[in-house]
Amino acid sequence: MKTVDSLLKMEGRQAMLERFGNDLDKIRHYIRIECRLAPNKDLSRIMKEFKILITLKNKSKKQYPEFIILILEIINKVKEAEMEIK
Amino acid sequence: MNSINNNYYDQPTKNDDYNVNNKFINNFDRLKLLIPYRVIDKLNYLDFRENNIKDFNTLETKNERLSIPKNLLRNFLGINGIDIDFKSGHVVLDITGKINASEGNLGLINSANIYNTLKNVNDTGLIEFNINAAIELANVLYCDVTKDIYVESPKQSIKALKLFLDKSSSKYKILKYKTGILIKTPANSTKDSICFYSKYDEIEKSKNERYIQIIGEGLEASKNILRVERHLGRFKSIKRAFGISSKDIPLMSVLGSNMPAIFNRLDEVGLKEEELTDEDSR
Repeated sequence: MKTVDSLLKMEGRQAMLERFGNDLDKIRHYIRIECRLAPNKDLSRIMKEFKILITLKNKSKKQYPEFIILILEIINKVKEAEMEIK
Repeated sequence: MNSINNNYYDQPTKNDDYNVNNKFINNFDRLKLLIPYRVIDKLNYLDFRENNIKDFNTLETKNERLSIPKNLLRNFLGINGIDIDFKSGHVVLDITGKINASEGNLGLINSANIYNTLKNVNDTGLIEFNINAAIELANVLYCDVTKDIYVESPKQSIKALKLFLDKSSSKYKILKYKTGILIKTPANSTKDSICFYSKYDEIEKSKNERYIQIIGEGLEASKNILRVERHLGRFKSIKRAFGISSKDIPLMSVLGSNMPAIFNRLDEVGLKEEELTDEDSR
């Protein structure tokens, strides 16, 4: 059985966005089915990453070169690990 | 030696290095603790004697200092130093997360596993102390707050950070650190700095075979780990990072703090979303 991380790594986040036309609900559904997740499994962290990618994709590539995207990913992951006190 | 038997803390059933029930807790890769000598139950005299410290009792009565020799400590994973100052009545214990390493687990220290961490120190037999009392009375002298970030390619992420920060060379100083970079502002020493490195490359480079053997499949799993550490070596910096207002820096105030120590430092060195997405600042 695939883990969410292995699925994302295998298929690629960008490729999944293109495949599902940036539809986050479809992506969420697809991940749940592929990884056989319980309905209450929290996917908010993963979906937040997709949201950021969509936001970044909407900007021009010139404005957001690859290295900025990589740094934003780091900041976002630190932020989500430290700021989200549940 | 005094023995304190109060049970301040429940012993956790199992190490848990990462988030417990999704609640944010700070993880540490290194802690340097100041522990009162009176919580020490036993010092392993034989080990000291084997390392040519002939008259331990004389040392104790003369109010001198004693450091457990490095060549002896090398046999114990995760212990950087044990120094005893008989004059001030303190033990300085310098430990790293490696002390908690296990199969698939790189080892970190946090509020959930501090009991087991100190128990692992006790189990070495070098020094034995009342764990609950040590947790209650220890002060933090130095710490590395740590966050493991999973990314596609840690090397690419480090390159990206370097590329961005190099452009602001007057604001930040970037030094090579392990298998990555260390960022510090010119005004600050490395005693409040932040570093990024590839955990996999660092483990490989260290050639610490014993550690690699212990973590097992953890080595392969670390390939996507970008380790982020904030090094805090000044009392003022530690207090500020964890929102501590007391004169001392109690261990549990640091471990139990919910201040986002790494995120705040990223912000301070200019690694913030607004700055990156603002075209004028690039």
